[in-house]
Amino acid sequence: MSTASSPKRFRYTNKQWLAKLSAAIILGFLLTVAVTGLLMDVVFGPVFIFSVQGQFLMWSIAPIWVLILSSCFMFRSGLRAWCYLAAANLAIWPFVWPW
Amino acid sequence: MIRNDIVRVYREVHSWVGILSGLFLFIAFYAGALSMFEEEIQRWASPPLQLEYITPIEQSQDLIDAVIQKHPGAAKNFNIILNPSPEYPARMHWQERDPGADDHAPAVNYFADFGPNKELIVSKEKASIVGQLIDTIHQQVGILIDHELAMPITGFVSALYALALASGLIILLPTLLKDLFALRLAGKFKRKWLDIHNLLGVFSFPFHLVMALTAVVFALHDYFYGSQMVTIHKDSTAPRTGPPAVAAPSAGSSYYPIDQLLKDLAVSAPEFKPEILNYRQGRGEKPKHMLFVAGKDARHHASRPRHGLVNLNAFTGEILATDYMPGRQEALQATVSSFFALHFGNYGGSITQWIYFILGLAGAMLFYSGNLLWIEAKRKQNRNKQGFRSDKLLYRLSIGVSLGCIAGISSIIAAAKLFPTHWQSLTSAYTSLYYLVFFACIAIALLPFKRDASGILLIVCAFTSSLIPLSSLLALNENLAWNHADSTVLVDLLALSFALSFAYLGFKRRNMAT
Repeated sequence: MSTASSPKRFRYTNKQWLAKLSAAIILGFLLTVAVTGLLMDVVFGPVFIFSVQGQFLMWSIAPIWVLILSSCFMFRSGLRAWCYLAAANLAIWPFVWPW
Repeated sequence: MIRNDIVRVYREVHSWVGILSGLFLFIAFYAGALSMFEEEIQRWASPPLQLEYITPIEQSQDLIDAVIQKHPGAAKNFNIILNPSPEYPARMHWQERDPGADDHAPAVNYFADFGPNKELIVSKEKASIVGQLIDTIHQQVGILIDHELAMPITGFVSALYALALASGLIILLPTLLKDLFALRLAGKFKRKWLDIHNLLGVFSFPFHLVMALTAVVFALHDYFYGSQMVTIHKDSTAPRTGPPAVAAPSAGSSYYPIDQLLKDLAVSAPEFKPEILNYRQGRGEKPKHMLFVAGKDARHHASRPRHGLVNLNAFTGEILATDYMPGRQEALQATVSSFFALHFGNYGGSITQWIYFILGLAGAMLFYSGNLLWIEAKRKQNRNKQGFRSDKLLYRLSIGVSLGCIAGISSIIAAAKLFPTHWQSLTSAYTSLYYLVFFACIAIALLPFKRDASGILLIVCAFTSSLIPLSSLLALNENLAWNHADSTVLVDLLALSFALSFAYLGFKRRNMAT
């Protein structure tokens, strides 16, 4: 019987790959756009979408999204992937949404 | 140290995204490597010019007026070509859609010049389309459908490619130093290909990372901009910026004389070598005019595939903006331009061009070896299975698709000289030929013979590639074909070396099998 002092080590598998990957594709993309919004607010201030700064913000989607896509398999379950990414979205969007 | 359950997770991810995207990426990389020489291929494939009919640069304004009078549609957007070449075989060039054609139909290229008695000569599409077609095969990962429909597919493949890179790095990290320089060519089949795959993957990793990230953006930028537009840029009050445009001083004013404009530019930007003057005109009562000069600067990276741009006032010749001018960009603009430059390899001159060509071919090899490894692993699993075998199907498909792509591209290049004259500017003729060869190779590869078709298909690749230099030999009779006595001989030499390599591999393969 495992006790608190010797917990059974969690082992990663790909059993819930579809749930994890779909979370990274959908919520991960929304999170990425939110992060570019944060980048705009903190670094540039409001800029025109096709200005140089706007182009840079569009380009920064690729590395951020790819990072999320490739790390989503490190969530312990599909449910956790959806929950954590949803929480991250909820945490950032209120600040970057142009109310 | 990375835990081995994590390594196992990423090994599975790597093999699945790899097998889904490998064949598309092979096509993209082979065509992309060749498109490093797009200008040479384009010139090789286009018939030489009748240089006596090129309008002198001083008469450009007369030419512009004469063309716009007969073809009012040209006024919106036309080019003045400073150094006409087989690719741009006239002083003035513009594009129009045939009346009634839908928006997605390819535009028709028009070229205009004055004849010997100053009569206007307008001709349609003289330059070959082969260079552009190879580029399209590259951009659309071999799927020659409407560009708008193909781009999401390319985006999907690019995202898988990025995922394959990240997962490949993770699974290799624990044994990186041990395995990297171990090239056990003599060992077992799997060991050999795994070592080749790892070596190619590690040493070209930065190149592949750049390609994956930029390809995601090139394919999906419409969607990226769109999603930012309705969220973070919603109701944006930020001032709109764009290339500066000016209204004509009075109705019907002439443009600033081009010979004078070139002299001014040589003084204000001596390192910038102008090639094309692109005039654009807006709509409305008093339309705004824009003039972009496209050119090259050997010392700096360019902002577009082949050129940098400087924005001039079309009526006074003064420089309005240098946002896209090589070496005159601000830091952030130069950074964004470098993303393009890193993908296109248009910095550092011909050395970079050759390095990218080799890295591109090595990339195609990386995906081919990846497929072989997947197949070998499946073959072991399926060893005792009867009936349908996924590894066998995939092995044959891999051979058919990759060698079919090589043979197809060689055929369309050779066709530029071998097709009858009235086919030479017909996109559908080239597209059909490419698909005919491509699918014929796949069909041969899938035929249920005991021996695989790699030997015979390598010979097909050798044959189609050898047609390229052979078609140039036809030019010994001037009526049959042409040759430019310049660097385009590179195309013949490259094709010859490809043909010899394929023939060597093909005969070796057939001897091994017997």
